[in-house]
Amino acid sequence: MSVSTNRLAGAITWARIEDDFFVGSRDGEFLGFIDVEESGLYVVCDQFSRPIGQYSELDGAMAALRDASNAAFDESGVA
Amino acid sequence: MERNVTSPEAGIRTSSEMVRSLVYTSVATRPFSDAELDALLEQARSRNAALQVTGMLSYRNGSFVQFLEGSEEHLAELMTDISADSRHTDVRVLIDEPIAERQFSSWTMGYQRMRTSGKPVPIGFRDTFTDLEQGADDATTARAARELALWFKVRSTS
Repeated sequence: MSVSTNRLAGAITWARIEDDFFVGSRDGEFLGFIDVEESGLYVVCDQFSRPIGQYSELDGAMAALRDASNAAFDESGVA
Repeated sequence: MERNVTSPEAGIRTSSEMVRSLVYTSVATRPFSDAELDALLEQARSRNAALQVTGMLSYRNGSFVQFLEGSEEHLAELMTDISADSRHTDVRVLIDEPIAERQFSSWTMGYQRMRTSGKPVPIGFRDTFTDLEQGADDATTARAARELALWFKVRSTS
């Protein structure tokens, strides 16, 4: 029987540092950040500060960071 | 392209000294103007350079959060002066721990203005600065300190 390790990943803690800068972490581990550019686009960067996408809404950016961290968790067991 | 969050300049180099990281919050006794903040930063940078202390200051709505890195002796000396500074009050040390390497080696006192318009924090989000101001539990404080340090480095290089 296969078990999705996503189910084992803890909830993401989202935090806002300033109006246009957000960070996601899980169990104290940094997952990545979302920065709003002058254009208004939400740029998502992973835990290594590598951009992984641009989104017009915060919800989309959060989902992208969540998916990326879940994929990393599935691969290594560490988000 | 990777967003570089490493230090932009050559900074203070220390040998094999034991370095500690200290994070504290305090409350301004009156609101700081930009000119007053500049003067405070200039004074801090000069003093920190002499003591081989590095760090970062953030300021929001009359509250300070400051990161300091240096030897135990120099940090103790600095904190004695800082606690006696009449420009702020309610100095509370949130973190005081040994570290393997400095996070702010290029900054004798880094500073980035926070872009805050008073917009409410999105639902489901924590407010990092508030978490530090309120001195929550150790895990929350440690997370918030890491977030603020990351923000500073991103803003300093973008």
